[in-house]
Amino acid sequence: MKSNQEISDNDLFRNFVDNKKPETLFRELMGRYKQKVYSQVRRILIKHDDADEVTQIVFIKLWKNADNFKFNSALSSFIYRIAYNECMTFLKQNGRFSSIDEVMDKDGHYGNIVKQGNDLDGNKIMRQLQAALLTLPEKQRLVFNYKYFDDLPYKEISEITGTSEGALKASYHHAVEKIKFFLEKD
Amino acid sequence: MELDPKYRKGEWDVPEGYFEGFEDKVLKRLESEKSPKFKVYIQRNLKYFAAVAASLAIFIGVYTSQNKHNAEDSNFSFNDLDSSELVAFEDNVELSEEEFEEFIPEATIDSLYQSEFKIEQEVINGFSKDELEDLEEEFMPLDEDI
Repeated sequence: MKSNQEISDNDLFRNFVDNKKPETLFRELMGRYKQKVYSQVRRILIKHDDADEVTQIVFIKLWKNADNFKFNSALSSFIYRIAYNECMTFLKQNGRFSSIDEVMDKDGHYGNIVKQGNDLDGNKIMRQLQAALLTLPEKQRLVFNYKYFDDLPYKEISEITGTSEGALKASYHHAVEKIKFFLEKD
Repeated sequence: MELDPKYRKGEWDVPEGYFEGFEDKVLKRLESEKSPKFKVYIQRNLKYFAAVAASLAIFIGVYTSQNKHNAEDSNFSFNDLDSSELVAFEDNVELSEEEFEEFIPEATIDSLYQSEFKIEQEVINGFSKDELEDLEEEFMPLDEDI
């Protein structure tokens, strides 16, 4: 019999749902996904405190909506979808953007954090890239993050964002072009 | 078109030990959301609960008062009424013969008829012979009443 560490994410989650949501299995799931979810959320929300709050909410939502998962897609897509939705909800609730499709750094809030390096590790390359990312429209930035940093296939990004694969490929292409232009100029 | 992979190496600055305590933090939060759920629900909907409680209090008050009133009514008896009240009742309420017999005791009916048809001798003396014969015809009991 396989231990919890050896079984796939979907099988682990099935055990979790079928056995009335035991805490031990949920700990194992969080252990597998906490850093990935945090990274995705942090890249969207930039600040650690915001990312921490939303990452916790993602796992709370995962617990509460576990019965809604149909097991015909990857668990990672389900979790990233929750993360994506929670980030959008957070951005709307905090009133920083009138539309999620607007450029994220409308009021210079995040741009200043990135430029000053207050909340980054001092890595110049990272700061440069984040500054470039903040010039992108929301959709392009999201697609770039999923593709470049997480190396997710377009099919999975499509499931997360609800956008067609063709549109995602076009968004990624435009994002890379703009970032390259920004970095060369900088 | 691809971007130089060197940019992937950048890491966000995360507080030390943040990920170690993460599971405990989420589970504690889940637990706290579970237990006071009803309490929070009550607090959030306090005005609705107050309205429901007030409505219930009014309903119970009205119901109790009504029951008390009905209980008082159930002690009522037609025997307590005098003949004029019974006549007034009969004039105002449409009752079938069966209902009338059910509600009003036979003795009461008899006394009612006796009092209604009891005519003082002086009054009788006041009538002429023809008038008396007319009255006698008019109030002659039917065969079925005898």
